[in-house]
Amino acid sequence: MPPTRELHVPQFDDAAISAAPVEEVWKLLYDPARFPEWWRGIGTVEPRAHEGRGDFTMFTDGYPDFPMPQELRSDLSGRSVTVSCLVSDLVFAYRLTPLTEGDGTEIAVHVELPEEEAHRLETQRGVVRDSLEALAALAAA
Amino acid sequence: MLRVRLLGPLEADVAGRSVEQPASSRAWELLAWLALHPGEHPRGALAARFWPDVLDASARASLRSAAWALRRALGPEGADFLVAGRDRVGLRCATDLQELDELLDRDALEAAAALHRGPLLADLHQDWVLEERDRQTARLSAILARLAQEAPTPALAVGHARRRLELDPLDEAAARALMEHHAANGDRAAALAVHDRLAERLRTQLGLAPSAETRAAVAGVRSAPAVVTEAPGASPVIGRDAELAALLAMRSGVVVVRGEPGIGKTRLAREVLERARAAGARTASCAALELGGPAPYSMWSELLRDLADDLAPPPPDATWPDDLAVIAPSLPRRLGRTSVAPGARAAPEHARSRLLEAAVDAVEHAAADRPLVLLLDDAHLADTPSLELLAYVLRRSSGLGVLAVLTCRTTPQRPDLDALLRAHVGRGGELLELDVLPLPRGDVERLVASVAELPPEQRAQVIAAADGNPLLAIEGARAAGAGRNGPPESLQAVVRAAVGRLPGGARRAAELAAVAGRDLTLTEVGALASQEDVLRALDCGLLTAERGDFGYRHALLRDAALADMPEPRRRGLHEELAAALRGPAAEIARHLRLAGRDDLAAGRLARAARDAAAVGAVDEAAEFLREALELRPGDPSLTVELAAAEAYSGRRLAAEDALRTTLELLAPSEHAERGAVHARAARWYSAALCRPSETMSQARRAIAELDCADVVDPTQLASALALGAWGAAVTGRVQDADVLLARLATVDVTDPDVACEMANAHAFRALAENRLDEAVERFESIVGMPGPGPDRAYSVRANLACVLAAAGRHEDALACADGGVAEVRGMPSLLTPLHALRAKLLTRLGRLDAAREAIAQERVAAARSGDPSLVALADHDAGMAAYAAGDHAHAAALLARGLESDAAINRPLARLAIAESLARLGRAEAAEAELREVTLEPVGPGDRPAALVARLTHVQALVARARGDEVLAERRLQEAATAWRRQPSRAGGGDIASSLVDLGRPTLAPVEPARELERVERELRHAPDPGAPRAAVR
Repeated sequence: MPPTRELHVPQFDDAAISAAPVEEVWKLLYDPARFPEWWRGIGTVEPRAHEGRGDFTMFTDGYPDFPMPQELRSDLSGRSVTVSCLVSDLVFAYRLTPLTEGDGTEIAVHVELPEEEAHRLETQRGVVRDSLEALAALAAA
Repeated sequence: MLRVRLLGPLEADVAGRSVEQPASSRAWELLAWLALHPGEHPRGALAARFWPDVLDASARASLRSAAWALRRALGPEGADFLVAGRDRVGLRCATDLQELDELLDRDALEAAAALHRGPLLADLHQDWVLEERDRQTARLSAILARLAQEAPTPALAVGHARRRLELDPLDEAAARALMEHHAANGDRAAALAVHDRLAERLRTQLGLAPSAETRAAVAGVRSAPAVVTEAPGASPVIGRDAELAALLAMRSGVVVVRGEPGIGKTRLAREVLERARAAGARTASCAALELGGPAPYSMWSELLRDLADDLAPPPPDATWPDDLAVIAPSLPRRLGRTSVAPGARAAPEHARSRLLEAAVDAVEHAAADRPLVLLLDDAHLADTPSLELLAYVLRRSSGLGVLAVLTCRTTPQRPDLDALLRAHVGRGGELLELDVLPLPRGDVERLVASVAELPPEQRAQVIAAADGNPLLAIEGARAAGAGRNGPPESLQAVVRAAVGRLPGGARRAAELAAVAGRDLTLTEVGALASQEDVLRALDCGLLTAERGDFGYRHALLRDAALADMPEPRRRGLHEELAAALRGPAAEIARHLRLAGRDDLAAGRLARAARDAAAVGAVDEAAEFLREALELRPGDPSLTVELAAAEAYSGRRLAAEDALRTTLELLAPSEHAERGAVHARAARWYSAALCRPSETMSQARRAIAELDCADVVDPTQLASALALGAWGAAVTGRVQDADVLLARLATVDVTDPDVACEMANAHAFRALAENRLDEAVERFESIVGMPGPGPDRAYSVRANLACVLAAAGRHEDALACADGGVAEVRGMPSLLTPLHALRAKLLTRLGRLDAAREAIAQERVAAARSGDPSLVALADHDAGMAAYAAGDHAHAAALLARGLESDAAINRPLARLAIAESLARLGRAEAAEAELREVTLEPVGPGDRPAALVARLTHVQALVARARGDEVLAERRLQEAATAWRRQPSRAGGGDIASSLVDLGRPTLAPVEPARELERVERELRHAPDPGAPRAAVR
């Protein structure tokens, strides 16, 4: 029996509470054109594929000329929306849960990085934290 | 008291004690002669009769010895019975011959006939015995002739006449009488069979032809009009008046006749058919195969063959005879067609759809000029596709005067049959479920009396043994009436006695009929046994050649014959049948398995799987393959077929398991085989499962393997390249698609299917970059290709229409969809989405009345298909049309109904339409709740998420307005307008491809941003919105 190599996927989870009802957060998550308003580091978004790849294309502040095609999907339950970068293989899986009291929404996110991007884990933690807070605030505005 | 029985094998008893046959055969013969010739006889004459070739003294000495031996055999009282004086010898005894004379004096003919246990002194063969036997046979023949003449029913007359002919099979007078009674009983086929048998015997045994009198009699039978009485050769229906009345009251719908074996279900059902036919109805019947594992639709195969014999030829342009040839190959010929035009190859689900529609057409044709009654006997053993087809036909034939009569045992349970009946009732269909119970004693007595006149003690025994079961009563009475060793203790004993008396060849014919598991056609039985043997077998009374088929009169009789057969014998007969029958592969496989020839059965099961898949029965195909794999585990040619069958059944994981197993079974060096397997998988991933990514992956593996193979099939390689390019284009990997297409251009493609796949790949490649004109051109090239099957015609027309619509060419798109409707006519599973597409196109063109008509056609087609997901889709489409027309109340109701199913509809968009309709109806809270539900629906790329956001925002504005919050409404409208302005104004080719993959059906771009923006801006100006209630579209 050959030895098996245990795969270690760099990943983390984070969450934030928004005072906004779930529909408002949902609108921001499903509208890539508005990602730059809350996703830290995203400069612009084009609502079309790049060379036939992805559902839309993001350009980061750091690399404004480097197109990064993305896919946006929800799971079959509809409760989770995943944004996958087809260039870097970063995956962001958001999950929205209406709060049991009041109109607020819990926004949870699970992030996975490819092994070769493991060194960016801490940077991504910070980006995601900031972005979640911005998303929560924007939805409630 | 000494009693001697002469009518049959010689038997004697003294005061009930059986007399043992002495060692001296002369002594036993002496007993027979003396019993047959009452009184005392001179010793000299007696000695000379028995020992004619010796001196008188020796003969007398031998007589003394024989008398001494006989006296000793008779026991201590022997001297009382055997009177042996100096000059004379005689026997004091009672005989059955004396009893016979007394009975004849009293004209008790039935009892007189019943005394005969067989030929006179059946176990003695001396010349004097043969002479006496002939005389006695002539007496019995006369008795039976009178009994037949005076019989109260034709069926009873046939029984007596048959027994008379058995006495001397060369007796032309007896044969003529039997023919006449058969004819009077309505069984012309049996009458003619009697003549054929007689002619054959006369020819082979005497070198003679039948006499002029006999020829005249048979001519009379042939020319006589058919007489419809009760079922030929059948026993009368007694004690079932109430059941019969209830059954005859049914004019259409379904009748289920349930009961224990032998209780009379089939007899009752056949009586209904006979009476219906006599009243002018058309009838047909079939029975399930008793061996298990039948071919799909096997009951309908038989039913259609039976139906065809009584049908007027359909119009030349009717396609159903040819379409049904896949399950009933002889049907076109039976309907007067000289050749079969096979339908174009189609995917399994469409092959099934075509078959179901053809069956409906056949039934409509049969019921066009008169009521139609169909009997499905032993439906508890029916194959599932046959029941599904019955359900389909029933659903479609309401109002046509079609009555289906099903007979079922109470076990085994058939939940699918129960579901069929529930669904039938749910649709308002008529259903009568009749439980047939044991007969009361009085009715059993009448039944027994109608079969044979028995002495009271025997009759009572038969009635008690039957215990209310008519079959046991009839068979018991028949056996007792034929003088077979008194009343039988069981049905098995009846069958054993009857079959056991048959000579070797005839017994083999009877055994073959038992092992076959169904009635054999005369052609089939002709290949297995001589006509003489078959006719002799029929004479045993357990078998029938009714309707031209040879088999047991009842399944229980067949079971009893089987139960008595030693296992090795049974296996041998199964093997003979497997070699001789030309039936479906599934049936041959079953015989091979029962013969213990599993080595041959696996191949037949694989063939059965192919046949099943060809008629769309993919579940059954998978089942055959699984069974084949049990017999031949590790055969990759079976696992690869199983993978395809699982895929076409929609079981992806099982398909992938079988695929993995196949690849594990092939050596890494078997590149050509591995390549073929991957190419096959690419095709089912593309067609059956619609998974472009996996299609591409399998195609690439196929290409890699084929590149390593010594010899490559160019068609296989081209197919892999084309499918891979399609998968790559649909999933947005355009560069990969280009590489594959460039290589494809270097391959010489001659196969028309691959040419279509290639053009399709080019079209989707063009769509991926929004080159709509090129996509149109590529799809149009497929339309012009020769001989596309209905499913290909459908998909290419639908795709082309969607692309034309995306290019703004709505009229062309509509014409294209209309062309598709014409090409797939008769296949509801394809018609439904095409009509849906037409409805959307017509709505966009503003032709709402025509759109309403298209929706109605979609709903009719969906209902015809019987597929709940298509019905739900039709509800959804009707809801969307109502929404577009501003009929919001109906829109909300229909869309909600569509959402209750798991049909492939754009769920978030449907919920948004409901929310908007509710808001416009002023139901703000319900609308808001619906918006919340939108956020819980899965969203795919074909749903254009950003467009959903814009639409949701628009509906939020309408909710605010419904609440009177104009400030919030204004803000939401502005927000929606901004969102719409960000959208590309027209759907791109990639959107169309995504929608196709997501929904698996042609669809227009779900939203049109320009039109949506216009709506929002109109709201902002407070202008009346065309979305306000306007016209009802249902």
